[in-house]
Amino acid sequence: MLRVRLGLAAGLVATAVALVMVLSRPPLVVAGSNNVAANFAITFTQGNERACQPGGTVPRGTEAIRVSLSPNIGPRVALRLTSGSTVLTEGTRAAGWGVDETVTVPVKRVARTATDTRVCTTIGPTVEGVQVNGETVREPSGRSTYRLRMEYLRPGDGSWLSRASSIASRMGLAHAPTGAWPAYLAIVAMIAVCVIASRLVLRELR
Amino acid sequence: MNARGSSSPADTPTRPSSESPSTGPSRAAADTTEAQAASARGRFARVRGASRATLRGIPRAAWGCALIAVISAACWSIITPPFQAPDEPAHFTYAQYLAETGRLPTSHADQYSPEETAVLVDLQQSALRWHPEVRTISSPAAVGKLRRDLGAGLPRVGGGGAGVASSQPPLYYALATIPYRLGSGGSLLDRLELMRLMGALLAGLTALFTFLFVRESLPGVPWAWTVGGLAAALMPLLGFTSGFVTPDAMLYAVCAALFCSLARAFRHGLTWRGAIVLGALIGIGFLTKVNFIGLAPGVMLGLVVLAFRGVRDTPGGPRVRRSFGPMALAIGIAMSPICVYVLFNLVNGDPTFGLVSGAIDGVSQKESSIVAEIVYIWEFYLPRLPGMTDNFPGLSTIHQVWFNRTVGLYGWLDTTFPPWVYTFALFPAGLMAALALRSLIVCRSALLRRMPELLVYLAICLGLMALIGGDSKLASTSEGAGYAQPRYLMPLLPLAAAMVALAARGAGRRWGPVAGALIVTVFLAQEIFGQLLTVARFYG
Repeated sequence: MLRVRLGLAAGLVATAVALVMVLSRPPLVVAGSNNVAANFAITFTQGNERACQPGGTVPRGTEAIRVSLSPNIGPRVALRLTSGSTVLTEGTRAAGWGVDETVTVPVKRVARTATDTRVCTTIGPTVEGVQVNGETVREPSGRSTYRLRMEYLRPGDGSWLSRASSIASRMGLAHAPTGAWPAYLAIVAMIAVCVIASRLVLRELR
Repeated sequence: MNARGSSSPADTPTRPSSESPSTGPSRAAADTTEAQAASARGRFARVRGASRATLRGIPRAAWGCALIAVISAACWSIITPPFQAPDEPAHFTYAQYLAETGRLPTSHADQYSPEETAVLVDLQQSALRWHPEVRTISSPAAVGKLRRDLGAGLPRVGGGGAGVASSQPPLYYALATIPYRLGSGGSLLDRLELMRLMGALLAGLTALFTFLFVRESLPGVPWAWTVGGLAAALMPLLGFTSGFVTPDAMLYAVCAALFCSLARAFRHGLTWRGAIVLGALIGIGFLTKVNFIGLAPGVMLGLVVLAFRGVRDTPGGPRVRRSFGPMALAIGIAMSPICVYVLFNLVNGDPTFGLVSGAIDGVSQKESSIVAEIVYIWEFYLPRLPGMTDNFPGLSTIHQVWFNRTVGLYGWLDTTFPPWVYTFALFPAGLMAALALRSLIVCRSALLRRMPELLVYLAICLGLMALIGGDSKLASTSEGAGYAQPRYLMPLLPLAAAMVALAARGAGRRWGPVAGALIVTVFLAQEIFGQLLTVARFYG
């Protein structure tokens, strides 16, 4: 019985610690973009291709890049951001993401703001045609190509916890019942779930 | 069974005596009526007594699991924004049209009611869907417009088309008209929330029957029942799916009850009463969601196996009677809704299977070899074998689709954890799989004894998986592998819960309960973080 108590306590404590860690972190917010409009479905790509385009100014602290690709099941997407011959950052999102109009690729934190960057996107083999949302441009060679919209994400101000009351208020705006109280009720309900589950474990698992 | 032809003590005093002085025709008729009424009362009392006894036989832990599932799904119903779950607008339209007109949808077109159309526009539903970077409305102007339209008394009847929901059978939607009518004095969002809460109650039933299935499957390990039941109740996919308007919620409950009844029949034999319950559940399944067709062959196989196994006259005694009669009864009850539906369509001059016929025609017209079909379905779930065509290039379906999406995929399939979470989740999942495997190896002799039962469950799994895989292939040109959604496999939740219970048991007699406690906390954490993820995505 003592072992079960300890096991349950260990699990609950680990969950609580993870919860505090998550809630004390700030959410990722858009810090900049490459100023390409995300025009809907300008073309489709069948994958297995690599394309480079201007990346504009990449803000310091960027930890993820949101790319305007849209599939039901996404292919592997790899990004490499360079400034001249220097690699500023890079990252990969494994296949299987979606259904989305965008894919967020985590990258190594960008140490300082960089201008006139270039970003190369490698799209892996695809199960289906991947919809490209962006702009069509004509290269100096006369060939028509596309540019993806990219948004640079970095941690914003304030933790998730500090935003709790505004989030609760927002939850009640376009929902029934209205008001912030359903959000708090949901928190109380989930605490009740934890208590009931724990009691069941302690009573039945011996 | 004594359900037929036996009389209970309650009947005896009310029977007319042959020595009765009043023998005139009118008195005799009155006596007969009285006797019939008393007999009916007696039967009712017997049924009520049996029901109470059955309910009393359910362990408190099972009710606890059910309560947890209800609360959890109710939370999901609050957290998920209106119409931001797969096909919820179409499912709501179906129920609304049925409630307002008493008729079933007549086409596959998206002909939402003016009321729903206005609310979808006000909620910016299509701008939010599949755009994880977009949040729910919050500006005073947008909220004001929504409130005005909600109170404007817009027409509640559309053109009769319920989009993708149109081809679904009507039972879930008929049930959903009850909360819809209860909230008919309120706004559309009030009615939607009440319908979602009905789904939460169904989640409770799913967890309850899942617990009972685990109890029937692993009768010798009572503590493991709670592990399996809690794992099911806390599985976020159950709460999320049961927390929005979809017939999946009812399908899960029906399938859990079906698995429970099958397991019970495999332990105690196919009795007349059990056959009626099984037949009714299969019939309800057919009337709940088209996907049930995938489970039906396996269930029918189960009935045949049970008929050959027969029943015992004494508990633990040898099997002395085959159960072909109960089997026929179960199949008759199961098929009756389909026969009535077909007859109804034929009388009205509609296609034989109504709006479902269109889908059947689509399947029969496609040009694909059976081998290509089997290869596709194999790769839809499992790694490609040498010599197979690569239908999913660059993708590990079992890991990057089925596993990852089971760990966390919410909203309109557009809400996912950061990639590292899925990598991290491999560790507890791998441990659980290893423990379950150990348990299976240790119990191999018991498994061999129960091979027919396990083969029936396997047939049920394969049937459902083949149906979903085949459907995906059919739609692959337009939707890629968009049908690769774990919620479609959730009717198999009781089997998954039994595997979780086995995993806990696999840690051995001494450490099993500890492993069980840790497993429960893993599912609890998955539930909590799944809800937080959804909150962050839509309101953060």
